[in-house]
Amino acid sequence: MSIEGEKIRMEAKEKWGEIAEACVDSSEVEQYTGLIHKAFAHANSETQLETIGFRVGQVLVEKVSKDSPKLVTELEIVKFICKEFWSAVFGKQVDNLRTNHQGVYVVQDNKFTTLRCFPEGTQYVKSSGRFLALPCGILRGALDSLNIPAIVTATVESIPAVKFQLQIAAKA
Amino acid sequence: MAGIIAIYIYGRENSRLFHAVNPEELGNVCDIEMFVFCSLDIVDEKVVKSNEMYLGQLFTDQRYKSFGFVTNTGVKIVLVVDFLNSTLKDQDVRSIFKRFHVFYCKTISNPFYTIGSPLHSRWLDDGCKEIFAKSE
Repeated sequence: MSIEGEKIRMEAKEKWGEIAEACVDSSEVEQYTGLIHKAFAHANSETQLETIGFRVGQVLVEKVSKDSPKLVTELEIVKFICKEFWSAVFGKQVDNLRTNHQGVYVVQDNKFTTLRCFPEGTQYVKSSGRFLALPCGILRGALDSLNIPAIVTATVESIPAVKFQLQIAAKA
Repeated sequence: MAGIIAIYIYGRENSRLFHAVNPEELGNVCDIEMFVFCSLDIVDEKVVKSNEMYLGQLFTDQRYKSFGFVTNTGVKIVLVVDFLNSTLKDQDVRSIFKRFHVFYCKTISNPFYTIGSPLHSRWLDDGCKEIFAKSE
């Protein structure tokens, strides 16, 4: 987690500490769900799954890139992730890749593996988040291993289509 | 006939992950390490120009010559061979690197291994034994 993220978390934790002291009724707690999520973000299931995914991605990319030609440019690496890596890990290639040429890539998969067996439509979009934490981690680990530190976030509008946003950190 | 002398694996930031020296050459470890450090500088130069993972011959002096290999993930493998050895063909060196890359993959697949720490595995040990035995 970044330092800024950590700062936000510490602030939220302090605030929650004060509130928790004053709280008497359990019904009051419900108002602060957002705050609690922020304060304990380091230990929630998404973060942990993401961390596991990161480790998995690092190993998988080493295996998949073993027989591929040398990858030099950033675009080559992202293309490799979308083609070879995606089909090795998620069973198919991506459907759409877009970029603004400033370090942001949007990868669209219209039939994403983990959501393929979910009921289609918009009903369960909210609860699908934690199922995408592991794939996000895998992608981040793969990119990191290929020397591209990035932030990966997934958005779902309608199951089973997923948009992954790869936000590549500026090289120092 | 003397052949392969040592094999070294380095991470992306040049941290040493693995090293193995032919048991016959254990007396010259200092010289070999010095030689490997010289080779590592050349790896950085060559990696920009090369368009494959195998970098070819890196460096020679009166006693040793070295070959290099860099994976897509930035892991560097350096092979040190006796200067007088002429039986080892380019193809053989490539196959050694390929094999050790596979061993590296297998080793990091161990869930108890933390990436970036020194490598310990039976695959690597057996592989080293094999290449050192061949060279006698």
